Amino acid sequence: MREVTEQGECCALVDAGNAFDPLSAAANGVNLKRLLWVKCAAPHPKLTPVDKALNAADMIISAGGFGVVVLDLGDIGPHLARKIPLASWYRFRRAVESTSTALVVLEQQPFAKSCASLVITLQTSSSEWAPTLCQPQNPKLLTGSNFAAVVTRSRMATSQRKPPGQATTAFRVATSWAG
Amino acid sequence: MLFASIFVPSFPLQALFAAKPELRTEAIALIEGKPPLLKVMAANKKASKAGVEIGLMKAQAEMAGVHVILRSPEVEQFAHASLLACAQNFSPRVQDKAAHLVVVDIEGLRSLFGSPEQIASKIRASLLQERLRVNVAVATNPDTATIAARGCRGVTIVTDAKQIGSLPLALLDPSSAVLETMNLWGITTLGELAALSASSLSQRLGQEGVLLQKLARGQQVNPFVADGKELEFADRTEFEYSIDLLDPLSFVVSSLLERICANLEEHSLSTNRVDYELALDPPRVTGDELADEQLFHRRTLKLPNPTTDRKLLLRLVQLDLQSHPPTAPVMSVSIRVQAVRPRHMQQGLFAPQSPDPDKLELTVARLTNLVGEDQVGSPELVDSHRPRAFVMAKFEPAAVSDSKSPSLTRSPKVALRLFEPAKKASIRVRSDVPLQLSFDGKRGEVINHSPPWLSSGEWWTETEWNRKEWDVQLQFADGAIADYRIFIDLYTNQCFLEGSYD
Repeated sequence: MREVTEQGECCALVDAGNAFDPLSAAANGVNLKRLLWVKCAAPHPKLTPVDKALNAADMIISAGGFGVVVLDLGDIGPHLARKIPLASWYRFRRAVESTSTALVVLEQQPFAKSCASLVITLQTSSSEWAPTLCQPQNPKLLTGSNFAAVVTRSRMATSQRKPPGQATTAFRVATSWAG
Repeated sequence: MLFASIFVPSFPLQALFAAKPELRTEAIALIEGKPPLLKVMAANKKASKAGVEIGLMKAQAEMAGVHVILRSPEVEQFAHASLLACAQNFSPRVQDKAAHLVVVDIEGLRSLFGSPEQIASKIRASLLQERLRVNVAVATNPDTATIAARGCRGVTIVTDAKQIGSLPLALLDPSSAVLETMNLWGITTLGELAALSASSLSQRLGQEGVLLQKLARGQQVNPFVADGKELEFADRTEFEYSIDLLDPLSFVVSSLLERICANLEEHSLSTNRVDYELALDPPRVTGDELADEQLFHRRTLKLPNPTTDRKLLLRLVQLDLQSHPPTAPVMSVSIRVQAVRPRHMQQGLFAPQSPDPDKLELTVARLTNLVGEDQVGSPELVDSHRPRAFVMAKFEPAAVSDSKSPSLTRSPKVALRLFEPAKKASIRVRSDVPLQLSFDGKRGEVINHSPPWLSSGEWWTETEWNRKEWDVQLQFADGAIADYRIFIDLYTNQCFLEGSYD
């Protein structure tokens, strides 16, 4: 989202669990003025947050012109996310494949299945806690997290050769107060 | 500068004939005044031939066998409105000098309507269709054009002040004393007045004489002041029976918007603000006075990009009505739009893609209808130490300046995933050290924790807060480890999970 908004494009975040923290996003350099945030967790007499999120994503993709549309289903349990019909994912894929818009879905398990062009599994391998000088409770300060990213599925390979089964990378993310 | 003056001779009679053309062949005398002192104020040629003169009493005119009609202000207003509308069709700069006299600035209209003579002929032809026979004169100043229009029949193009020299002095509307003096001198035409010495005239007749001579010499005395009335784009309709369904209401709104948009397009304008008002018919109890909010449903729609797209405006009104339905059946609808100049933008070939403003407005309205009023927009940080210090602002990417401000840091930072609302938890604490946390039926042992962070503020408002925060690392019974931000509300002593570190 930072890269997209920095380039002057707009991005949309469809937030099924209202989990987005604008302060964290601003600390990461996201231009919030170019971000359309749709909060879907508020109670509705007929629609569940997932229904609202899917409808909202559909509307935004149809409107066009966004660099990235992020559909955050990270707080939706697998028992609910599994009920999303495959047709919805196919529709999303059809809607974005001929455009320059990227649809990124955050979820606990890869429910989009074969509709996804790229599936990346992210795992927190460890978090870093630095000791402080406070005694005697010996508190520590969260200074960062280490992540492992595994490409579990990709249809984006350009060569005819079969891509390697798994591509893995590790990276570290620091907290904003740790510098 | 070029000005066209449009003069309607015998205006009360012409207005009557325009409204009732069948009377044109009859002998007509118009009367005015308070009964029984009704006097003839205008008469056509046939009536004059029958001996009717201005100032005759009504009974005398009737004795002459002419058709006597009471002067009607409504008929004259209608004719005046036609005159103004015709003038405004040719130029937006129009000065309404009298009911029978209008001056139009025709400078720069050559490419649209042709030469000044052609413009004057077109104006005259246009008013003939409204059954008004007018004199049109074109001159380089409005005063000369007006004198020529009053004195010459048909179309007159004044290129030299000598052209009006033969016109009678009375066209300048001098005071009776000055006119009498002039008559004694034998001065009866504008040319004769123009030939007099200005200083001598000033000595004998004062400033009035000088001004009259300037007019006679074809000079401008009165400035041209175009009517500054703002164009109003509004429409209204009332129902015999109140409407309580959206579909029939949309049908009415559609027709109103169609007329307004057509009017806007006629004036090469568009709108970026629509105000609509629904007069409601709430159930009443006799004697009860209802508040204004119960009687009227007023809403305003603002668009980032001016438009005259009726379908877009209708859809926006429909979506707004769906998300903010009126509280009672609707008795009338009135719509008023703010007219602005259309915005023309040239997109760069290499400019980053952005949503179409019209489509975006419609999409945001649909999203608002789907998820709620304050649930869609662009987050805006608030300068405060309050937790979750942000508000939802309107998403207007077009308003964001293009200046690229590279982020301060390129390295990614740990983000917090908020729990909305904050999750309640039970906590075991000893000497400001969190030991154990239970929430959602799970229990986690604290294996790492930060020092407590005390935060409070805004005690002078209802949104005051006073809390103690920790970052904790929990290990659950299944061995899973996760980092959370927790806090204790010091007012209620309740522990909450603010969010998890992603």
